[in-house]
Amino acid sequence: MTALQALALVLVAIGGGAVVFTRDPSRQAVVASLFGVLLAVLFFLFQAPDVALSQSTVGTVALPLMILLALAGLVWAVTELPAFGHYSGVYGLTLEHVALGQRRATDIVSPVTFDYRGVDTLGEEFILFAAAVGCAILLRSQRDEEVTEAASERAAARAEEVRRPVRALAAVLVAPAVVLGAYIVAHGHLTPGGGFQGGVILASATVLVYAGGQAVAFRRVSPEPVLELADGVGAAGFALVAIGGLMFGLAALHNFLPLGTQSQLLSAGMLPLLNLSVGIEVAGAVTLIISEFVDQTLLRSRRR
Amino acid sequence: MNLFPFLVAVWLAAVGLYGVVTSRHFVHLVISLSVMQASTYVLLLAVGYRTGAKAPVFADIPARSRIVDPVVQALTLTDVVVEATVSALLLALAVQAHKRFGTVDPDELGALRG
Repeated sequence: MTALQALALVLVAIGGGAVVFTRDPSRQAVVASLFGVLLAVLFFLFQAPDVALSQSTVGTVALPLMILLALAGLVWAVTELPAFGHYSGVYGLTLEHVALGQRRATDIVSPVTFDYRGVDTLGEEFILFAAAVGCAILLRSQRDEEVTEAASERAAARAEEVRRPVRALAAVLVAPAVVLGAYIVAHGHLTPGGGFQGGVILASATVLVYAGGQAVAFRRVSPEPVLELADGVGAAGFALVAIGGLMFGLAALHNFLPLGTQSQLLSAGMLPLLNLSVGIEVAGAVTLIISEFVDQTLLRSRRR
Repeated sequence: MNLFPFLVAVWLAAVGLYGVVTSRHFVHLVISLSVMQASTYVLLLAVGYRTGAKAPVFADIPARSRIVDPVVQALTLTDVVVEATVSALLLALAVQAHKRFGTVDPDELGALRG
């Protein structure tokens, strides 16, 4: 018996057990078809191609086979990578030496995100923008006046349900969350963080208002037009800064502001400006997405 | 052991794909997709890691320190943000699907629409 045959036997043995012990019928179907493939391989190794062929045509092989092939392809692909811990990419190694001097930003990820690979981030900005708008369109499409009124009644009722300590805690945490978010946005080019991270923290501040049971107040501190405006202004701001380089006879996304002194709050050229516009956009977009989901939850719990 | 982080990435991609394919609930499907996307984070950060190197933040380390690759970290950052937005959009679609067809099972949805 060859090693390959022994391996196939072991796999068939394990596979059979796996099929039996998979309780959920839908999952069992997939496990069973995987088992079918293993059987076919075994038959093939036992020099019985006819049986193998009939076995493999029985049941759906295409899907599990594709997953298996994809898995094999992926494993093969990673074996070609440089060993873990022995990174040797020229791009990163060059940046290690030049980024600090060229951009005066101490958090190197920041200039990579907004400057060296700024075009990627511009695209990412618009993905975020499109997703926020998409969520708004999808979730807002079936809302009418009557239902919205019912929802605000429901929101008022909910405020009563939330216990006082929870409300107090949420209220106390709002201001620190805003400060922390603003800090993270402003220091994006100096320490870990930036527009994306800080923007989400800012959005979490408005969510805290909701967590405190103030769904009505949530609407008041984050009215949809303002959120949409923030989303749009942030995205447009990034694009404007990007084409600002062109105004000064440079390339798009080329730095046109003074670099300043390293480790100062206002340094690293236009990085703080880009972080700010991303921060505004992310805060607006994330709050918009969450508020649409909150509205949905209120609408549905009312109906139930 | 040098391959281990990459194999974990492959495993996450495979198990996530399995979850997506066999999912009986849209929310489960979206979460499975996020597991699958987590494999790209593991892969990217594993590729950029250098033994003995520091995080790419010069705020409190000497300017000539060896740092791990900041490029893959920026890519992962983009990845995380896109993952979040895609999840949000997919969940919005799930809400719509439930509202229209009264089911959260992808298979039943297929049956309903022929």
